[in-house]
Amino acid sequence: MFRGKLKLPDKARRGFPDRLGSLVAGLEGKEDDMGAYDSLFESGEELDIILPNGLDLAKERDYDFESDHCDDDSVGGVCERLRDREDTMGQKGSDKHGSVSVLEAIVADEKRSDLEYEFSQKEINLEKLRRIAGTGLPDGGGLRATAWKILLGYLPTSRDLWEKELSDSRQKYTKLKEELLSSPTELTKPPDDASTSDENAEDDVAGPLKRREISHEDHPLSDGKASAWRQYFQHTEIAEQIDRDLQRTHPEMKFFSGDSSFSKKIKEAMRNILLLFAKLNPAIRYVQGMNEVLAPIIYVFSTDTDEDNAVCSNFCFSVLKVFVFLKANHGSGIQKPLCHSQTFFSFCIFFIIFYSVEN
Amino acid sequence: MSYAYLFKYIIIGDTGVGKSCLLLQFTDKRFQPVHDLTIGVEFGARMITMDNKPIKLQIWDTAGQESFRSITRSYYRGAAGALLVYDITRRETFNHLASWLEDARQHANANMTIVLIGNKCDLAHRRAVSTEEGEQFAKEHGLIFMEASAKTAQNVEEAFIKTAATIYKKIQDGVFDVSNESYGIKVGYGGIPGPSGGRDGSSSQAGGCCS
Repeated sequence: MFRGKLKLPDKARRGFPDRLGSLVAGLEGKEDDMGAYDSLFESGEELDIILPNGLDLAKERDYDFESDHCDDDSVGGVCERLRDREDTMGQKGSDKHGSVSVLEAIVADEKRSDLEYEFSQKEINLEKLRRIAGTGLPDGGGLRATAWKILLGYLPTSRDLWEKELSDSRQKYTKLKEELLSSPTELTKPPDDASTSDENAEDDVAGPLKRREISHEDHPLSDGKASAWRQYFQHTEIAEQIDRDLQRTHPEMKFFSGDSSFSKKIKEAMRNILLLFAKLNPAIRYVQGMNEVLAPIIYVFSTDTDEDNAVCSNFCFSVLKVFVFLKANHGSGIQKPLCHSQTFFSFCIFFIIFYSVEN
Repeated sequence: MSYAYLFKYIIIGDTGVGKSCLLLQFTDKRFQPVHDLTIGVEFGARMITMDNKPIKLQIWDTAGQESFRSITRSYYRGAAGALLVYDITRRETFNHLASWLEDARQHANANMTIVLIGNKCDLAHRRAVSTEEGEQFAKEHGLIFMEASAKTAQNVEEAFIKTAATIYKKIQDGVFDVSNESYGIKVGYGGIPGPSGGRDGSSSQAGGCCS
């Protein structure tokens, strides 16, 4: 299923046939396009013709690009290609199925090599990457995952720092998980003998229960704000809600639903991430829709894992940053951006498409 | 399509009680066991006939989560009817009814018709709220009450149509100033005799009552 399982971006080669062509280009035109995609899926695996409809975003970027381009020779080449691309987009009305697909495939191919080149640089040119990504990213080889990571600011632009950054944030995440997601019994438990007495307590009905010291604040009935128990119970509510919502996160996709151990693992990972985010951001907590935003991120990134549990640790921070970004940009809490950010939701459309094709 | 009246509804209640499923059952006559969660507000519409007049129900389906309350609150205004939904298998959704009602009373117009719906009544074996409790709550707060199941479609039509009937009766009784759209009622072309009215037979009689 995960053809793009690669350890490092520079190993990304063209061993993966780009069956999807330039599907990526359909970002903004989701509603109109769905019908077209449906019929494409029915026709089988060879999805060579993709209609680059509704590229509002892409066009905008292209125009931007036109205005400030060609100071730099290397950028000039990209510029040419983008203009070609725009031309092909112009043709789409009259000639949807002919030469456009070929040209699109070429553009996607070139984009792929651009990206691979860019990722192989010691210092990644963020501006350039943004431009390439602005018109959609090619599939396979983990290019999208890597690009998203850089664009989200999760990975630094300097390649040499990647490995360290990754292991650092994985450690950080594991630590946070230990601190915030374990039950207060474990937290308040004195390390040694008390733990065994706890376990024995239930079996040993005949004898008197062993008592242990408990701080004034930290007991299950405490109302104190600092009580770990109080917080724990508060968070069970959130956890229950998250669990319920995860049940209805793309139920039509095996990746997220069903009883397979894989989808269970994915759900568990999403649960941890969402719960952790809620705990770290008490003012926002969990808002319905976060699951929808997280879903494509986790989907895209799990095509780029290099170790089994990386799904959990690797991406927490990316998604956190997305939310911080959304919040910062709208100032009025998370609701607004979640309702209005079409671009964000079109990511979901993306990965529905990818999923259908990959399976 | 022309209509004599358009009634605007709003569906409210805790998350996961089946608001969107009720709407889907009413508008599409189908059930989706796992419905996508509603973010913000969604929307559905269906024509019904009442007293031989075509009436269009425009239904706003809201997100149930607390975080979206500030958004859903702005949809109360201009709603003629509200479906307040709880899940008979989850006690807490019943316990929260009072706060929903408070919201509705505060933000909706006073003549809004509110129907209380205990959803998922097909799951009787998991029932956590008795029918009597539901009835009692509705009685105390002056609501119409019924238990329904979006899955089996039991009482779904009835709930929407009964709401419409109540609103319709209120119009007949002159409770609403129908020219004022803030009551969630709009008089359509099908309701007044005119060039477009000839297409449906009901229009000729509809004219008299709503002028």
